[in-house]
Amino acid sequence: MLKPKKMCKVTVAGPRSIRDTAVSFFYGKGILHIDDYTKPDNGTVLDIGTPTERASELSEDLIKLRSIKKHLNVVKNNGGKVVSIDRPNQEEISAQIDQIDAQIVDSIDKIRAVNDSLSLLKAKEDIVAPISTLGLDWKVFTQYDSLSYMVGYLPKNVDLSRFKKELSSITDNVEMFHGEYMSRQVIALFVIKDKADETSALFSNNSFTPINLKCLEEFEGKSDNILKTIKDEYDHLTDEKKRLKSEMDALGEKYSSFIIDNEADFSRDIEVGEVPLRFAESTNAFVIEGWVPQDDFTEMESELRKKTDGKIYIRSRKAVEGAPVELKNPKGIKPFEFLIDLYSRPSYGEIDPTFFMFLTFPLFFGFMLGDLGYGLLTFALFFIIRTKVKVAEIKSVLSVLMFASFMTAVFGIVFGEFFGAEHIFGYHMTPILHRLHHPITLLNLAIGMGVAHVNMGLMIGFYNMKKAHGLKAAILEKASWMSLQVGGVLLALGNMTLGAAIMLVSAIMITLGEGLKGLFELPSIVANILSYSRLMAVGLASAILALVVNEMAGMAFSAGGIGLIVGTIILLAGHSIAIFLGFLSPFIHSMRLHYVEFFMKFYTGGGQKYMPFGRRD
Amino acid sequence: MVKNMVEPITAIAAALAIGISAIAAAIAEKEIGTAAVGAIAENEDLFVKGLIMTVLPETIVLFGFVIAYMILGA
Repeated sequence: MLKPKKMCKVTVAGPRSIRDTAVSFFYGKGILHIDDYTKPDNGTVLDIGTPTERASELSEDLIKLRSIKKHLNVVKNNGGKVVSIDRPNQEEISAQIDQIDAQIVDSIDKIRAVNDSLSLLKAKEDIVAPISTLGLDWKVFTQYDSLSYMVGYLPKNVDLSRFKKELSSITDNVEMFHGEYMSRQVIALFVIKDKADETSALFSNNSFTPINLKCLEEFEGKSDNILKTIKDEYDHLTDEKKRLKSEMDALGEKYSSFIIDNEADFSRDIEVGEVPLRFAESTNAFVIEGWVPQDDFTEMESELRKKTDGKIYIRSRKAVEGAPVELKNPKGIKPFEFLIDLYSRPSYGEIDPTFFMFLTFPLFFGFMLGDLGYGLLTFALFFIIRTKVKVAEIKSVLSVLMFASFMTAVFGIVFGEFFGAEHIFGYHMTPILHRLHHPITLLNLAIGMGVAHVNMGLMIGFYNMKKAHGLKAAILEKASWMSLQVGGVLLALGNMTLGAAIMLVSAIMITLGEGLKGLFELPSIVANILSYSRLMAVGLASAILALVVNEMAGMAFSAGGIGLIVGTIILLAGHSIAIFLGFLSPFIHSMRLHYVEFFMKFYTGGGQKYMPFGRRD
Repeated sequence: MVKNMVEPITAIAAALAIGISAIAAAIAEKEIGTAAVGAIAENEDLFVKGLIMTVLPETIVLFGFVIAYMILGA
């Protein structure tokens, strides 16, 4: 639990004839974490391996398949069945993919054409519809010898009678038609050609927007009828589009399992086919280097020998450092690995702090929020959400939050708080420690937790240091910080000589261990411990926030009448905000206390995640 | 509690202790926060590192907070 899984370094070498057997064996086992081979600059016969030919063929098919999948909107996964790696009918599948592809390309082209026609019709309708309000026959819009005409919109605020008057001052040889469309004035004006320029000047002075009729010369008859023809065609094309769409849907339905299954198979086969890129090869041999959990090695070795008729060389060495890290924690603690990975995965050989995180993260969180009502409510809430989500990471976060909620409820009982009040539906809760009445006790408790936490970190650091660099380094760099605190406490208690002496010795030890930098950082231990006073400060703030909400609601309730409604709203909104803030800030603060104050005492991190070839999650 | 027992000057001293240290922390966090958001925009993996760096100066407020309590309690 406190240590990552033990690994051993494995080197596997053999003739190229058995390469693919070995690769598919490792793929099936899913336990070998491959170290990527990089070719050194100077003379070696070993080159980076070449992927199988099949892999590149499959890549092409996979691209086609994915484009089909996208066009057919296939998302449903009906459990891909596993097909063996050497499928004999690959040709057939390729042919079928091409055939589906051709069908789809045809439908896509048709749909595109229909869409184009639809937008063209829409544009025509936009021109004909306003003109149809004039009630004219379309044939009047033609070439005249002596007449000129213009059609278009006038803004709504243009007064028509005034406009007509101005028009008649120019000429009497004029005929104007007028209609209304979408609350705009539609005008068609026929005027004798000599006066056309003057009238158009008048029009543009009145912000006239002309309608261009050029593209509509194909039409004839009443504009009402034209409009109807357009609408009919529009409906017809819409039906056609629907039909094509449903055809596509039917195709998607028909081939969904084919697509999903083959996509899964292809990506699997490609992963296997391309894995030689990650190891070394010469003309006749291959070498794979990687890591395997120590417990699985013996079994893997004998199986692989049997599979390859003993034509293989396998060697294992005990891992010291640089091995990939697989955390190993019981199920209940596992979600907290998420918080560790968020920072950095432990390096191989150091203590995995997940368990300590599990102990103290919810503790600090609960100590800060500490409210029975908030705890129970959010616990239920997170539990419900957790059953609904599928993403593993979000599930982990919710599990962590559920632990936090639980501790919040526990501390709610200790502090005697239920939604900020001191009673549950009339039943008075007797607090073991009243936060608002005894803030100094609360502060001392917080600092006490800090001392314990920081020293826990130093002890883990002692262990790590002893393991990596020996007892002397561990004493100089870690134990010295603990003795420094002892000296400080003695000094504070009045034992001047002894306290000062211990502190001096500790300071010398720290300087020896960490250099001058350590000497300058001596006060940091005080800063680290005082930092835990936030446990009390954030806690008080959240308690007072809840109290304020209750008091405001109480004032509204005592007013009666509409105050009852207002009070209820204040209660609901206020406590929602208080819960939201109450989770955000303790979460960040609890995280910070771990990452900064705790981890800095021992944690190296930077470990590589164990990602075995062929593992399926 | 300490209510009704504090000299006005003591209360002002406590307020200054926490108020000024809060402003100091705010100035520090402003600078770090801006840089952190910029870095996170470039590379999302830096989120946690950015968060940690950003909340580091909070300790300054806590010093002020503890001093304020000591002033009021004394």
